[in-house]
Amino acid sequence: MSRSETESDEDEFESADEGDESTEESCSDESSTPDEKVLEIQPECILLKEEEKIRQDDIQNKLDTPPMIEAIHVDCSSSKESPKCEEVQTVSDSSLVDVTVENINIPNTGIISEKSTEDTKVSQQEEIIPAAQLPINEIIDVTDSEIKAVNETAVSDEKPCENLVEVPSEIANKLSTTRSIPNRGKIRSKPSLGAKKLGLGAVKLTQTPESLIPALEKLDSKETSECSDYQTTPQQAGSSSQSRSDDGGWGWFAPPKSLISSVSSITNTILSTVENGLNIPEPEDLAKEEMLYADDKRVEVEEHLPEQKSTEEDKPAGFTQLFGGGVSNITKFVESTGSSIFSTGLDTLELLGKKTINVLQQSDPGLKRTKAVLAHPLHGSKDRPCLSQVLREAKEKGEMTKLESAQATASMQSVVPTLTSLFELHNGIVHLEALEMLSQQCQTRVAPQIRRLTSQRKATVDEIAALCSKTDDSEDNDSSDSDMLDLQSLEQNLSSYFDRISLEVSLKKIMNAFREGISDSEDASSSLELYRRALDSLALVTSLAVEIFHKGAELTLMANKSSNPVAGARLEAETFQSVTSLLATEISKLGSHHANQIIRAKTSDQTNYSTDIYYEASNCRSYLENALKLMIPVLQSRVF
Amino acid sequence: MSYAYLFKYIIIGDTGVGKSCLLLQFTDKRFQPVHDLTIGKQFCVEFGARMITIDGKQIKLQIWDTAGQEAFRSITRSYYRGAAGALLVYDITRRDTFNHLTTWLEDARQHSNSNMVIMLIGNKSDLESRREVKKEEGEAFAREHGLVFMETSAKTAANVEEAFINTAREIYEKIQEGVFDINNEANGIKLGPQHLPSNANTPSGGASASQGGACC
Repeated sequence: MSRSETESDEDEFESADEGDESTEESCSDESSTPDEKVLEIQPECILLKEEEKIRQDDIQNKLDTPPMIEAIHVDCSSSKESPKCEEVQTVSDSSLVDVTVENINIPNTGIISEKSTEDTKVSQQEEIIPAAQLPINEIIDVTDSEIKAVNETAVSDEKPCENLVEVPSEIANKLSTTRSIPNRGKIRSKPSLGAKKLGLGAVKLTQTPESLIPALEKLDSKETSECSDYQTTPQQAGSSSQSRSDDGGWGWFAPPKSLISSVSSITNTILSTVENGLNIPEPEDLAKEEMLYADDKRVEVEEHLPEQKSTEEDKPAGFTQLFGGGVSNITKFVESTGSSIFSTGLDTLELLGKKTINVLQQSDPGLKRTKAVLAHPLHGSKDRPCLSQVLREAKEKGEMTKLESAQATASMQSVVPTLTSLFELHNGIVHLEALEMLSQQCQTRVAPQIRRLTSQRKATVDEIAALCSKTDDSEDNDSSDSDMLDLQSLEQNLSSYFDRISLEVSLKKIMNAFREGISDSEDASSSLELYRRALDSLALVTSLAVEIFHKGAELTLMANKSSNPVAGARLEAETFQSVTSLLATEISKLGSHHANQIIRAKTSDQTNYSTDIYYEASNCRSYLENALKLMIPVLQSRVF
Repeated sequence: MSYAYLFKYIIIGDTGVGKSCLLLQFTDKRFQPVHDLTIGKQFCVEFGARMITIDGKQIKLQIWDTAGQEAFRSITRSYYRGAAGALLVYDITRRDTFNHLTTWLEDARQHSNSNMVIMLIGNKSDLESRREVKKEEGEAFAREHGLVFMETSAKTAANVEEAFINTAREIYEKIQEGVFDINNEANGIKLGPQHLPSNANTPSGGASASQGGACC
């Protein structure tokens, strides 16, 4: 699934480029000066912006309005690459459902209401393209060659690629003369405008912008490779992708809201085209009409133009735009100029949006912080962050992190974890801390009473302290009659010790740890690997041993005092002392076992590692002795 | 593995209110309906840990889940000290657990540092039909005692993340405000092993930079 998703990403992406490209190309082929037209018709966009509402209402019925032509144009550009399109559309269907669910949490509340219809609208759009064949077939006689061409391309969904190459460009040429060229500059900037905002949010709000970067990079690289496979216009696609990455690689981002609006508008337009197809006027007429219309409003528009432009430039990072009027602005531009991009690039954008939301939610569950930031945009602030910069930085950062992580993994090969970190990992430290707390609490209780003790009890208190502070290795020599670990006798001894003082301490975990420690080092490949395992096994056993002390302390404090507290306390101290030396001995043996394993591995660095193991095993011993010392106040408190 | 801060939490409250289940839900994202009583494992405290991210910083939450039984109170009390945050839990289907809150709160305030962030949690919010304590009552209690309040369900995981993370956020804010002395481990905050001075170069605030400098 993930594979096909990424594939579709590229496909859609290509499609978007493709549509864009065709418009551009046809524009430059055009004999009349395209630049002039840009100037002439650009104002039209702004006018449209002002009349947006009317336009949206009328859009379905206005057959002579430009959008309809664009809708046809959409068909052309998308069908031009029909082999890809089919794939894209099927994927989009499934991905849409996910998007719908995912996006519910987006701060952009407008989406929620529209989302429900989105599915149906898009699926309608899908159906329409084949469905359009019928009505348009009938139209052919009535309308001119333009429509014929459209029909051909629509049909060409099922045709092999070769047929497609020429027809669409033809149409594109003709269509571009009518209207859609002039705004080609906008085609690119407008969708990215929205994208900047969304992307900015993502980058700013998540602490892991890098996670977006891999996705983007993947798209980037895959796109290029896919392009070369693409038969019809490999160079176009390549160059267009090139120019896009020069732009900073924005083209594929857009806010969900504008996506949806454009989906609906495109759908509506297509619908109206089909329904009222018979009344389609000649494109040339349309073009003329448009020119006139534009001319009329030109002066007025030109006054607005600088302002408009400046706001355009300033707004990219404004968050409110995403939710307020900006959406409609974007949407309008999208409708009037960018339909071709969106019709094919929609699914890419939606997938990206979905990914963005996922990333946002990873570090911001419920998107609360995202909402908070979006709710309080930096109004009118001159130093708004520029999205392109932020994203570029994010990309750089992502690359840096990648590099660093690569270095980290490389260094992980040579640097091994410390005993302390493993001891912490196995909760050894926290048990030691807890034991320390019990110890301190007992200490505060014991200290003031010591002076008032009878000499006998005072002697016992001192004796306990002495017993538990003993760190000599004499015990070690006594009990270690062999270097082999005898787990069975260890378990027996330990349980008999605890039985002596009636403490129900479970030995299951530590015995398992010992068993695993002995068994797991057989099949290791390198001495480093052996060393790591050895360290981990030592840390685990030591942690569990400390846990036993902690548990023992708790149980001792809760246990009923014996009839003879002095003797009882001394027995308890002796027991814990015996447990300590027994465990310490066994841990040393475990260390020797691991060291021998390393020596047997016969690698060049064996000496160091085996020495280290002996050293760390002695550290484990000091952890245990430390724990035993912490037991002193606990045991002393039993005397009173 | 590496973290900028380690926050120590304690979970306290009557036995059977779901303290261990809350911890299990937060650390393992699962619910064990018939959970052994904490003391059933012969421990007055169990530990859980999870890494979270606040303000771009990795924070390890080390959670001490205490046994609720009265008999072990003297021992569990010793563990309060050095906690940066506390989750005080009651069961919305058992009024007595709510009535004992005052005792728990006094206990907690007495045996821990005064800056400890306490989050009041009404657990088992999934058992609406058996509710005995109204949400408003919990809110009122929290307001009265200066606690943060939340109703959670360890079973459905509702608000569980939020309870732990919001507490961490409060602690983190207190650190930023300078309320907590992060160099005093009695506050329940430790600097992570990876808290190197290079971290101070990150643009996210001078507070952490100066603290980072102080620690090294």
